[in-house]
Amino acid sequence: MANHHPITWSDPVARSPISMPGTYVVVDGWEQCDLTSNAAMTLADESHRTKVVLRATPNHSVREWLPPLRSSRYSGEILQVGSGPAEWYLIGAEPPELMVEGLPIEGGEGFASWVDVTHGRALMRVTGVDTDSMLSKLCAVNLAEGTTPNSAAFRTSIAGVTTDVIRDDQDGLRSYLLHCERSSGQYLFEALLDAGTEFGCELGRRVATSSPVADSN
Amino acid sequence: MSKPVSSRINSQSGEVIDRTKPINFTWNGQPLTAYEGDTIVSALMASGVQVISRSFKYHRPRGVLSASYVDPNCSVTVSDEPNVRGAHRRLREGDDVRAQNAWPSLKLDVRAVNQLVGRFLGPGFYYKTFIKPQFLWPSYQKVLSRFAPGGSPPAPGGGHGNFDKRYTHPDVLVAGAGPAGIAAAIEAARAGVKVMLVEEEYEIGGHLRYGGPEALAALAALRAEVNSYHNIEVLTDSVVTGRYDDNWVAVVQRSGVWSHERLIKARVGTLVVAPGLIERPYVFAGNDLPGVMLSTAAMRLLELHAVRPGTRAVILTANTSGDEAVERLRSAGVEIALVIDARTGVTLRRAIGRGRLKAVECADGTKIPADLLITATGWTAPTSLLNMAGDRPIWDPVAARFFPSELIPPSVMATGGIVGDGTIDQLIKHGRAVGAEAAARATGATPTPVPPLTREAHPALFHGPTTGFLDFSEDVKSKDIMAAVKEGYDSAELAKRFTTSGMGTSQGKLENVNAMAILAEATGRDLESTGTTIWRPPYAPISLGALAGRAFDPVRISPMQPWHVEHGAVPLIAGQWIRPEHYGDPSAEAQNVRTHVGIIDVTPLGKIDLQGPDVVKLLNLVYTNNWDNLQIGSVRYGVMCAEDGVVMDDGVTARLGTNHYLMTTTSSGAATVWETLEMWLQTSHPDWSVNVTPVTTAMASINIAGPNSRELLGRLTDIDLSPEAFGYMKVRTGSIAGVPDCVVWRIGFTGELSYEIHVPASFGLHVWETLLSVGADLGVSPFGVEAQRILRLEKGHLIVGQDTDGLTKAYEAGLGPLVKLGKDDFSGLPELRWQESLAGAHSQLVAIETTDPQLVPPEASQLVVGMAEIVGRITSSRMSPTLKRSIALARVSGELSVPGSRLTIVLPNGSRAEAVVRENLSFIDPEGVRLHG
Amino acid sequence: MILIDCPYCGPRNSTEFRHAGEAGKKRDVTTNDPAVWRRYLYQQDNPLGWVRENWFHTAGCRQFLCAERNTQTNEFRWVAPAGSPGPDGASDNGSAR
Ligand SMILES: [Zn+2]
Repeated sequence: MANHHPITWSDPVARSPISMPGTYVVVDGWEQCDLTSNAAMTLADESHRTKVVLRATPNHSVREWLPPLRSSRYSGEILQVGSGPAEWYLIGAEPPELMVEGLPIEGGEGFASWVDVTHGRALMRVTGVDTDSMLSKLCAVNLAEGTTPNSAAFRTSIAGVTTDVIRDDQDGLRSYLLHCERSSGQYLFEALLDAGTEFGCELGRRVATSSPVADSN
Repeated sequence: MSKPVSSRINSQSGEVIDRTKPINFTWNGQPLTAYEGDTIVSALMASGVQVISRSFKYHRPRGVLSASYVDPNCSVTVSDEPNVRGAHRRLREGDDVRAQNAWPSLKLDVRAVNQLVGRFLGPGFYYKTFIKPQFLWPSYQKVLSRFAPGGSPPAPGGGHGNFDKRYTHPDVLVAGAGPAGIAAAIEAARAGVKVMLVEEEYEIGGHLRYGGPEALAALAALRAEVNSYHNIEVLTDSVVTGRYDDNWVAVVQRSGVWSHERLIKARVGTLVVAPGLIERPYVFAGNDLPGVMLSTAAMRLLELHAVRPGTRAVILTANTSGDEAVERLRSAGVEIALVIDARTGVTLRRAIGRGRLKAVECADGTKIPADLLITATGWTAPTSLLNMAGDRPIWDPVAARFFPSELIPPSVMATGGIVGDGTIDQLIKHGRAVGAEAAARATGATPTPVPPLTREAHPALFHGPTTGFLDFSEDVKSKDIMAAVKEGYDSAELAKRFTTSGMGTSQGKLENVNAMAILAEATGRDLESTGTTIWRPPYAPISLGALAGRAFDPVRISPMQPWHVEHGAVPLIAGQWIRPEHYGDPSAEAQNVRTHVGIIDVTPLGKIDLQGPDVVKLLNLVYTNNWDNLQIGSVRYGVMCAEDGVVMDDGVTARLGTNHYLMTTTSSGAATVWETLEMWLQTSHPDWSVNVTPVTTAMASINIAGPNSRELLGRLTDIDLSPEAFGYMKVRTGSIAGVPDCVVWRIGFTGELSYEIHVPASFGLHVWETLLSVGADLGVSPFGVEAQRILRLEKGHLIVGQDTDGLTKAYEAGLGPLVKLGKDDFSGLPELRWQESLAGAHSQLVAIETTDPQLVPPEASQLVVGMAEIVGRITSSRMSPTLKRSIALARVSGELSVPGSRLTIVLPNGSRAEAVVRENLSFIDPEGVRLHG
Repeated sequence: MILIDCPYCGPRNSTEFRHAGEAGKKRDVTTNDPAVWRRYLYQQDNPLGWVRENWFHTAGCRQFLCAERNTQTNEFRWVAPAGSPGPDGASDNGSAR
């Protein structure tokens, strides 16, 4: 109906809920900040990762394929997280359809379904030996090794925002993935950065080195 | 007055000052020097300053009493920070220290006339003054604020640095690092658990720090042991301010490296209470004269700061602390004029002096010239933390102090002076036993009692033959307690409230026991039955900064919010959301929607993805209307009521697939509706298969409204928008501006042809900007929440929470046709069934027009008939840019809701205006021609 | 602050939860007697001592829980998923709400 108008628009660009100082480049349709840092503590935006939430009734067979409540594990490149009694998050780089491809969601007894929440969750990663102390400024859950070891997953209030936390150490260095609903993402990110100032927190992705801490700039 | 003389003495073995590091500071503008490690008060004393403050009510000159944090006479202002505990706070280079409560100066204080008008500020003044008459309160306040105690608050924006917050989970937290507390921490750490050791002073050690060579040697050994454990976190200049349910313990860390003050919220396995003992003042005439102090004060000044507190001393002693003070003073070169041994029953009569101690009058009338009077007459057990854990301490007449009862829960233990007496070794031994037991309990062991410390006999001494000051911080005298009893305030809590004893800066730590003893005497009871007041949190004062601390105040924004800010949007704060209220001219924005096309960011609209074979059952349960026959590709409006029939939320729900629905809620109701859905599923119908996923911010939502909306959206989407293919209340999915997986539905909150689009949120800004760039020739412009409110009001659409309130039932909101009482079950059914039978009796939502078309009555204006009978109120009111006249919605009582009824509006200035009830809620397009176009 | 041991999340501060009323109340949606319905809506036993009640773990697992709490001491002696039989094994006959 708009034939008499030469209508054009630029290619869609996906934008993270988190903005930070730095140069942005478009990678696979996502605007991404090019900041890197290997400081003692680093905070990075990982919101561009695909996120799928999956739910299944108690009698559904897909449950056998997924980690139990409050834990996480990698299945190939996909991080699977048991985030609630009948709820799992899948976090990865593939499109959502491919992330759930191998799982027996259809058929069988009970009911299971998934929703792509890639655009609905802000995802960030904080890494460094003091990250437990830093998070303890914002979070009342005990982050001691005994209660939340590597691969533990839990949901709690971080700086007043209900946040899913996954302890996901990187090369033996303490690291947490945190995701919250998108609209609070910028707030949470800034709260983490502010709490991390005391520990020398810098913005940016870590660059793999043999000894990440020693090579801090 | 003569020039102050330095009273600094030779190096002491336990001194904490660093004589190689001089510090310059000023006292009321006068430059002075001291050493690093000095407290403000030790620095002043070293410089010969004796009068530190003026008292709260009578503005009497006051000097050091306890030389510790609780010293009531040593509050000063440092720069613009008021009420600094001068006997505790360490001096820093350049500190500008000033006296408080003194005007125009410490030496000449006009308000000292209060001493002459004692009647005006007599006991019970506050208590009685503020009972009635209430209209006099403002006048009292004016008078009192000129005489108010304490310093002035810092100027706005002054700030005191970074106030922080932190959570921690120690297995054992020890409150107080004297010998017993340190030993408890060490032994708990040896068991391998996580320990936090909290000390109010700048260094650990308690009384060992000023206890002589043997004590210092013991302390050195304990320090070395503490340092050998990495699992003990030592916090000095920090205080445990409260113990709450389940060992939730608040700690204020005062001089952290990173923050000015940090509030630590600790969830503790076993709390060990080890605060030691506080020396109790003695009540007699002249006991507040500068120069009269406690034995521990003298020893702190001598041993920690090498300051000689006087030159010629009289000592009243009833214990070893007093005896030791005699020896220490003597070796520091103080002349000992007289030692009165109170254990023999002898006492003193009064202290004599004007502004400064000059002599001590003995019981026999002899006057001994002296500039220092030391009292050592007993101890107070600071049982606050035990009180907070449920304990009700018991008076022991033999030891003459309170001891913990058996009411302490197993997760709380106590050690040190608070539970008994002993040598340093005995205290350490008890601390170790308690520490080991605390660690065991924290790791789940069955509690085993720890053998108690012994109790030493001590004479019960509270006052001499004369009356004197009881509460130095509140200027309460012992005779004020007698007055309280005479007036009938004869219980511990009543006497405290009447006299305000214990309500000042020392919070009862120095004065409470004396007050209770005097109360017991005045009422002819003993102390055991008089009891004591219950100590509540906080144990020590907390600055407002520490309480405010790191604020957890989440903010929510849509993906388009940065664009709104760039384009001059005026922010509207709606709960946690920040949204554009308008971009400068809401009226023009609304008109552009009526004439061309506008776009509004409605991302905060609640959106919930529902999947499963039983979704329809859930919809039928939460909505009042029927959902059985909603077809794929259609949306329906629904209203939710709470179980009391009150309108809770509304919105449209779309059916996207066989088992797949997308529900929308109001922006403010999103969280409540989500929880309500879970509540029904989890608690009443766990057998239903419905998966609920909130997707509010997974989608950026934009409403495109106006006659050109079809043309605008049509330029960007592969969805067929023709009226035949995509009618009113239908939903379609497709791509918009190159973004796949968008949901579009046709609804009309504004009353115009409009499409609400929901796009994957990361592409929200792309779609928003593209809509504006391709629609320039169609007159597209953004509109904000205010324009939307105007538009919906013109159309007569209600807003839940604006046109309804917490009592509005569905029928009262005009939503009766949407309530399907024939359904088997839905939220609020029995209440609404009954409400329906009252048809016509309840109030109704109506549209009204003012007689004066230019008068826009404020929202919430009352509607009356006659002079005063309230019959309703205005819920929404605006000037309509389309009709160029005032329009409003109102709730009115049933009989007045019929069209044509005349109503009187009461305006805020008291004047009245007339209005008439309209036929229809819609002011424009009641037939819906625009909407269905 | 009360600590609630969520069966799904472990011990959490009570600020993460919302108190969701006394458990075991009978919801009779067929009643025509407003008094019966309002008793269900508004009247609580509110005993001194042990009470069975519901909590919703807002900031955690988002599950409705059933708990036994002492209203005098705030002690919890039992926390379980909503609708669970009580600690004594006795089933709560009413709906878990
Ligand atoms: Zn939970």
